[in-house]
Amino acid sequence: MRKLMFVLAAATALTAVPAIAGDTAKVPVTISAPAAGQGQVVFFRPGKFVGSAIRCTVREDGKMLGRAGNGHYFVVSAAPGAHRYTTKTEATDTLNVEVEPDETTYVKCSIGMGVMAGRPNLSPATPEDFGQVAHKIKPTDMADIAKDIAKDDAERASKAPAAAAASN
Amino acid sequence: MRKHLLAVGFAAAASTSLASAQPASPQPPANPVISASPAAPLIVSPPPGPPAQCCVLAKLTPVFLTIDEPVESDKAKIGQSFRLKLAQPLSLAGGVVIPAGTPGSGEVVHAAKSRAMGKPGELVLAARYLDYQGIRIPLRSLRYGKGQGTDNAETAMWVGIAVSAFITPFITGGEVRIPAGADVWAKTAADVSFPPLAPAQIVPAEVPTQVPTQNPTQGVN
Repeated sequence: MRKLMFVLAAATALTAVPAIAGDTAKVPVTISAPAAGQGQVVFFRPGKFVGSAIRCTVREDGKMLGRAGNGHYFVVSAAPGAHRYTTKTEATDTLNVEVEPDETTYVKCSIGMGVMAGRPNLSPATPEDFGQVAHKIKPTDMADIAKDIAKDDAERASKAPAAAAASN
Repeated sequence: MRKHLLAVGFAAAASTSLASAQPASPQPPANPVISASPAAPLIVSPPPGPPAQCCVLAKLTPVFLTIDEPVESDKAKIGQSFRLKLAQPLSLAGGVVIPAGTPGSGEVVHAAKSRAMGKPGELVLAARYLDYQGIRIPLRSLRYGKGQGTDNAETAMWVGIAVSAFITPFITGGEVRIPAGADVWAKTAADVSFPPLAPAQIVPAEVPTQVPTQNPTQGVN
């Protein structure tokens, strides 16, 4: 019985060490290349304590592109050229970027302090910035993003006639 | 004994499965590594494909540039142009050399100064063109390092919790400051043709001057 206990303890030790090593080892995250002639933007949100309950919703011209929770990222295909991305809670933050053909642009979303709610902030980032946190963050489920976008599009469509009537 | 064998087998299986789940070693960054001494002209190797024609600067050729004036996130305006210049000469076939110092222009795509609650300043720049003897060389993909200043949002939050929330509006983030003379690099955005030089204009590569050597047979007077 004593021998069995020893073997079980050894087994536990053997399994625990790789598990710990797996936490600290950096898993390379591969972002696939954009479609030929197109660019893409990676919006990532490092895992932070501040504003961890708030999701970073990114829009362009009012249309929702995606939403990153704490410690998540998503990739958006974009036509080469100038783009203006916004995110909003109690305040709106805007970031202008220039998407290059066949290249990936990185944008970091962080949540700062606000009066009533955290204030999201989009800021330019480098591949190295993304690489530093890539092993700690996960891709956002594309099915969830598609659902959120469909819901948001429906909401915007229902508000559009009311807004048009109010302006007249 | 059978139980012991079972336990050992379990341990081996568990450790093997976990070992196989370990991540592969990280790959080196995909960024191009460009090494050239500052004084030496950059030799442009033609891209794979058909042989390059005379005096064509190929699209996506890396170019080393210097930003010629300071650009700072709290002072720059979106759409503002800034001066840059070629830092290393580009030698093309046919004897054409685009010299270091060739002027060019860039544009501020985005600028935002740092704000209260630790929000950092932001700067997004783009290289537009180099101007060599009236020929515009379009540029793209400017790389210049960080586009964001120091983020003090977490500091502001902890100071707010530990000391007083009334202090946090006075904690600002850092600005992005790119000094004049900063080394950056970009790529050419399109193939650019240059007129071939006339034979008289082609300056041969510097040949070391022949130093007359003393004939060992001659005596020194």
